[in-house]
Amino acid sequence: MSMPDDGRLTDLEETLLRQVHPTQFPGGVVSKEAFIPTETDKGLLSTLREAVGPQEAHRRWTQDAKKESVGTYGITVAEVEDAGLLALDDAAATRTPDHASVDFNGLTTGGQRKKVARQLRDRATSRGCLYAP
Amino acid sequence: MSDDDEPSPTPTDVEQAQADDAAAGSFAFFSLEGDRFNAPGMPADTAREIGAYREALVEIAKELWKQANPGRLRVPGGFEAAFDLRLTNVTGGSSRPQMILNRPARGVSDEEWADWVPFFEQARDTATQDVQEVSRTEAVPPRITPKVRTALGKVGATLLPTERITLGSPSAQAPRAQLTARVREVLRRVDEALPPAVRDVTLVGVVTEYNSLTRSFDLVRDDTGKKVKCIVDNFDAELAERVRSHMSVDGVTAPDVRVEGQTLEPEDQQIRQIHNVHHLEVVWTVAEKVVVHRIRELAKLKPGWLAPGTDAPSPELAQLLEQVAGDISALGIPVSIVPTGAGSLVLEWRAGDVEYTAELAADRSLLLVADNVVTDDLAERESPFDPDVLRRFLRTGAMQ
Repeated sequence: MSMPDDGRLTDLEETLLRQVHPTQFPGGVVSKEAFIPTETDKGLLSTLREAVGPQEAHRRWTQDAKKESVGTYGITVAEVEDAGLLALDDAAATRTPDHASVDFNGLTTGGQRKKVARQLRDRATSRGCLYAP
Repeated sequence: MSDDDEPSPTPTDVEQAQADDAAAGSFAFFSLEGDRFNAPGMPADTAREIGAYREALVEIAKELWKQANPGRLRVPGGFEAAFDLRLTNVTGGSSRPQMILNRPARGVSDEEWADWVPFFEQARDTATQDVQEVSRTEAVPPRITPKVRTALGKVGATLLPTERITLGSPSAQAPRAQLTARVREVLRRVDEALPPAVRDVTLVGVVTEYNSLTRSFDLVRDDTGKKVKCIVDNFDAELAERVRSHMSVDGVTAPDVRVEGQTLEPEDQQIRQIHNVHHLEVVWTVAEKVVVHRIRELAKLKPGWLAPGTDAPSPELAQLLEQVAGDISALGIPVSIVPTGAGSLVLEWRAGDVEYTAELAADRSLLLVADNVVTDDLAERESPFDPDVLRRFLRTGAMQ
């Protein structure tokens, strides 16, 4: 895997791992809201690097962070860039090992964020759940 | 103070008063007695005694009518208003207001008047007997209902301890009763010892059982989850049928209904039973309940539910969204309702190639998005929340 100085992930085939909260999985359907960062995330969608593995990513989120997740979904760096966004290694900045973020800050309207999140969600769900307990 | 300390009219006074009242066509003999009433006229602050007396007779007349019409829980419309007791004069050495029963100019048929007047007259005589019995036994007879007892207890409220009211039929041969301070005290003591009178209640829940023999049903309350036994007004067969049609077979799958009735249980206690259920309406259909349940579940999320620092949707926001629950359920296609970490509530659904999104934000703004998943064409609009705008978007996809 390679990475320029600005932290941008350049291995387009790397799959970033995202956890989905049960309330954002109604009726077994993943909501695109699971792929939109919150204001407290400062526009950065939180993921873990592929090297962590889907099961370990789920474990860290549910056991270490004590949060809920129905399972681990994945989006590739290429899919992120296809959506017009950047994937960043920000493990040091977030003080979270293996952390990476998808930067939504270039999107200026709520509609744009919804649309991109829909694209990421559709890619992730077409790949299927990578790990479910 | 004993009755011996109180003034007593002389036989001559009473006989003269009876003769006067009978001659004047009075409805009742009503004499205020005590030092204050020896002067001509009647003290202004005691005029309300006439109203209290009328209220007591109304309550008694209603009870008598219901006893004469078994199974009827309410008197006919206009019954109470027809008891138009009017003060025409004040006579006597003591204050003796003259009262006549006036037939209202409208609203009471000849048949009704002929039927009801005997109940009014019987009520007057029953009140006399009740006061006599309380005076004699210093206890309230069991036949006196709480409503009647309370109403009777208000008669004489303006009197001083040494004053009393002699009341009864205007007929010279009829017995009289004396409403003394002691009688009033007995009525008041009983009132304090008994639970509060019947009160109207409205409950929302699911009908889980119906008993056609007793015309009663069980209602599992929406707010507490507790079961309440509800007894339908006996003569309301249509209502009973409606209850049956909205009953849940499995205890859950049924519309939420709003039920109006009465209970004897105090406000600070759990309601176990309501009577005289006279109104039932559907609040939420089964399909709407699924939506409402989902919205309310999301409103129970706590701050930090998604990640540290995230907000949860507020109950107030959930109530706003509940306004369109019927429209969501009526769409006929699955609509996802999801929360966001910013405390918003989001509706998502697909129709054809378009994914629609409506986000109700914590600041009560509404974002509408139509996202074509094939062409990536995007339309969006943000405005303050307006349920009609959201309804139109749900039904047609139109944002204006």
